[in-house]
Amino acid sequence: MTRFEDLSRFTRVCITREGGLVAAPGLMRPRTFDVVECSSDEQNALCHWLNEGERIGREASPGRGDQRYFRICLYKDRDGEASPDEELNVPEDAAPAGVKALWEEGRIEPL
Amino acid sequence: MTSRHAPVIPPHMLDALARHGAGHLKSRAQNTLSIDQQFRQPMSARAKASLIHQNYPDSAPGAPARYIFDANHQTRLPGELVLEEGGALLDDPQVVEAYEDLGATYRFFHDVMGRHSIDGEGMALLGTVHYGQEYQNAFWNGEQMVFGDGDGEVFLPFTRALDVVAHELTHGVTELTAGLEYRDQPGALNESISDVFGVMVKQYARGEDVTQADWLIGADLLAEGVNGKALRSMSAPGTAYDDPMLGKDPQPAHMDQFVNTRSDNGGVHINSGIPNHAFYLIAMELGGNSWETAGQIWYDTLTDERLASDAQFIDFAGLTMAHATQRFGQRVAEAVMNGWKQVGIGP
Ligand SMILES: [Zn+2]
Repeated sequence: MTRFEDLSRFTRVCITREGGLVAAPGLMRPRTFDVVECSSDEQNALCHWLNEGERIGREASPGRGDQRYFRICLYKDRDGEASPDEELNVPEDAAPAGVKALWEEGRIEPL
Repeated sequence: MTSRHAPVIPPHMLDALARHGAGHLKSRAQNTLSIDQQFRQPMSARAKASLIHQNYPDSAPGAPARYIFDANHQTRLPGELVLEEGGALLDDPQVVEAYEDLGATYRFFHDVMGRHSIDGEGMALLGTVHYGQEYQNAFWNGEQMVFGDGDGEVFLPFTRALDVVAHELTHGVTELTAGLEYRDQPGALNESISDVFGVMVKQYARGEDVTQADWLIGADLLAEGVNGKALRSMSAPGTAYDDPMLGKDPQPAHMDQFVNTRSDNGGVHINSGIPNHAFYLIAMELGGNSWETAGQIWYDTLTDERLASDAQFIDFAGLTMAHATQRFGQRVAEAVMNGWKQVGIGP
C-alpha cells in the first residue's frame, strides 16, 4: 500500500514546476486535475505516475543547486487555501513521461 | 531513465570509451566504471568531488582546469567535450562564455579568498552548454555546472551572465564546505551565498566598488521586452521584475515580510532576499570593494566548521559578527551587526 494507492480520498491534484535559478512565480504554471471527473482508468494512470514519481523523487534531492522539479499536491477539500494533504517533489530531468505530461500538456498519460 | 546520481559520463559512453578510447581516456573510463559500481547509494559531495579528480586532471594552484561540454540540446550529461584548458577557443559564443566566466570565478576564489577551485584542492571545473531545448535555467548537479540557452523571448543564454555562472559554481563550494541543507532558512542561506559570491565575482571582474555596482543578479539574461532588470536585486529585493510571463519578484528584504511557504523548497530563492539585503547594507556601510571586507567575512563564515548544515539566519549572522571582530575589529563588527539589525535579524 502506497500513499497514492487510492485517489478517491482526494478531490484535487495540482502540479507546478518549481525551483531553478530563476524561480519566478510566473514559471510555475499550475495545472489542476479534478479527481471526481477522472474515469477509473484515468485515476489508475494518475496513481501509477504518482508512484513512479515518488520512487524517483525518493532517490534524489529535488531542487538542490537550482535544479527544477515538479511539485504535486493532493487536496481533500474542494477549494480554498488549505495546505495539501499529501505532496511529492519529482526532479524535472528524471521525471517519468507521465509526470511531465501532467504539467506540460495537462494530460493524464494512459497506461 | 537517467538516475540523479549517475556518474558524470553516462555509462554507455564509458563503455564505448573503455573499449575504443585513447590511452589516458581509456584508463579513466575503466576507473569510473568500477567506482560507479561501488556507489549504488546517493553519493556525498566529497565522493562526487573525488570522482571528478579521478576522471579529469586538475591543475596547479593559481590556474583552473576547465572542461566545457556541448549537450547539443539534449539533456544527457555531461555531453560532448568540446574545449579543455588551454585549448583553442571555438567559434561558439556559449562555449567561450562558459570557459571565460568559469575562469573569472576561479580567479576570484583563488586570488581573493585563497581557494584553489571548488573543493580547495584544484577540482576540475566542468560546464555543459546548450543543455535541453530553449532551456530557461542553469544549475549545479553536484558534479558540474549546466547552462541552458534560454528561449530568446524571455531569457538569453545563461552563460552570458558572469554572476550566474559564479552563482552555480558557488553552489559547489557551499556543498563542499558548510553543506547547507537546501530547504527553508538554511536553503535560503545557501541561495544567498551563491548570489553574494556571484555579485562579488562580477564586481571584482569589472573593478567596481560598492557604489559603482548595480547589485543585480542575472541582469544580462533578460531579453528585450521583458519588464524587469534582472532575476534578483540585492539593493532592493522584490523589485527585479514585474512581468506577464515571470510574474512579480517575490523576494522580501526584511524578516517582517519573511515568506512561509512549502513551495520552492521552502522559499529558498524567495527568503534569500533577506540575507542578500543584509550583505548589501553591510558592504555599503563599509564602503570600498565588497570583496575586501564584507566578502572576507562571508567567506570566513562559510568555511567555519561551526556553521551547521541546518543553520538559521540568526546563526549565520552571529558567525559573521564573530569573524568581523576577529579579522577586522570592533568598528567593522558593529557595521555588520547594524546591517543584520536593519533586516530584522539580531538581538
Ligand atoms: Zn542557486
